[in-house]
Amino acid sequence: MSDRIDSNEHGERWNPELAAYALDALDPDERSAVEGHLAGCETCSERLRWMLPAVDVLPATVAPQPPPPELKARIMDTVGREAALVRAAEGDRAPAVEDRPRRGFLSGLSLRPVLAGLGVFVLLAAAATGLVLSDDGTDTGGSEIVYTAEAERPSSPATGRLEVDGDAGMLHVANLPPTHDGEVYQAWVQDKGSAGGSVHASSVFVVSEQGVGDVAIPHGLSKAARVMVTREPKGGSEHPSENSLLTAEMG
Amino acid sequence: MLISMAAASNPETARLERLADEELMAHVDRKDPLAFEVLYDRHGGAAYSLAYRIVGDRSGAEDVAQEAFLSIWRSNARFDRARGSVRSWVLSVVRNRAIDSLRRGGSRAPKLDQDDDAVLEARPSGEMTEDEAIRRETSRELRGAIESLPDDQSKVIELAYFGGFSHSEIAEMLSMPLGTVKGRMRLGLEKIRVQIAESISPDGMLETT
Repeated sequence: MSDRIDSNEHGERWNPELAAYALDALDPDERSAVEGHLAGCETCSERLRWMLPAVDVLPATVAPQPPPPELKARIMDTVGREAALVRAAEGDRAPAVEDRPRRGFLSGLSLRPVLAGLGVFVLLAAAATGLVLSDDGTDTGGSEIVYTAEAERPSSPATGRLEVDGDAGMLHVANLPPTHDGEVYQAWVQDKGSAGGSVHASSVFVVSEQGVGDVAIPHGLSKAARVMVTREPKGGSEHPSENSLLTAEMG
Repeated sequence: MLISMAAASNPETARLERLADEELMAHVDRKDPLAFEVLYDRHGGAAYSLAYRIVGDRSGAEDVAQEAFLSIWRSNARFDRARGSVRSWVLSVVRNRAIDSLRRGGSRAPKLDQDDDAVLEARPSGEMTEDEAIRRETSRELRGAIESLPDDQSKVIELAYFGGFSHSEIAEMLSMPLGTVKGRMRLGLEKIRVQIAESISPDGMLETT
């Protein structure tokens, strides 16, 4: 499309809508209306494609700020661990999680950014479930140890299975009620200790409508006494907001 | 051309660094952490800068950038080649996360008084890498396109893009009709689009560093 400005009646009607749409400034109903129109109007679709680079350029107008090196270290530490879990789920054991170089995960950092970065993590649920769990869930082979997770409330049908491989693991849950908007489930790892060890925040996750979900526990299990699950505000919490709904005792 | 330590010590990283963004994304989709590291090295600076511009503080910007990149890694955010370049997509993920962060925190006061030139001048060019220096100049040139707009047009665009406000919120904030807000958005974007026409590739992608 040329760089001319369309001024016909159709354009007068839709171009302002397209501009607001491109800037993500429409209310949901208006957005749906524009998307419905775009589906059947090649003129407006072309017009939008022409306009989008004007929005794409906006981030480039921001003064560059050098990101702190710790940011990359934190991101890559998590990425490295999760990549190792994926490889483990796929049956490729090398390199194991414990063998990966550590780049100071959590060292000198507040917990908040770590929590924010954990996000909702449902790790390749189908692949993990199919490849890691055996049919009866009691013998997965390799060096994995499987623990049963039980609901703390007798009336709750929630169940779970925790598969531990070294310091990391995967928790499979079932029969947990779906969370409401703005809520997630969060896993917690409690260290061993005679008076009850420290509780560490782990990954947050959601479950399907059937109450089924999988969540990776990237680390901390080699010295853990139990893994617990609570319901928390979206983004996760630094400390549990309620008593555990589901607990896997690790002996 | 500078060769990073990672490239010098790891042939696989060096190979990945030669790939175009779109090719790199295929490796990221296969959960290749080296490919993801290259992706971060290319776009992490712009991502953090945008997050900082929107949320206004370093800790918040770190949270947003980390959340965005891990979302990309975990495939919660999917790259759609039809929607534009990888860089535009990464930055749109960052922008969405930053706006969500503002909304969660309830601090949605418009941050339109940030002096980007002052931010740039506060960092002597001697402390910058070559890439950062180029980005600085690109930023200045492109910001010129925004600054050349009438204030009433640049304001509605900035409130929408950097503040995450809807056009109805902007209309209420500025006490003007909805149609006027959308009309100013349209005029402003059209003028920017015309000014940056030379930076648009034949396939419609914006070519920025």
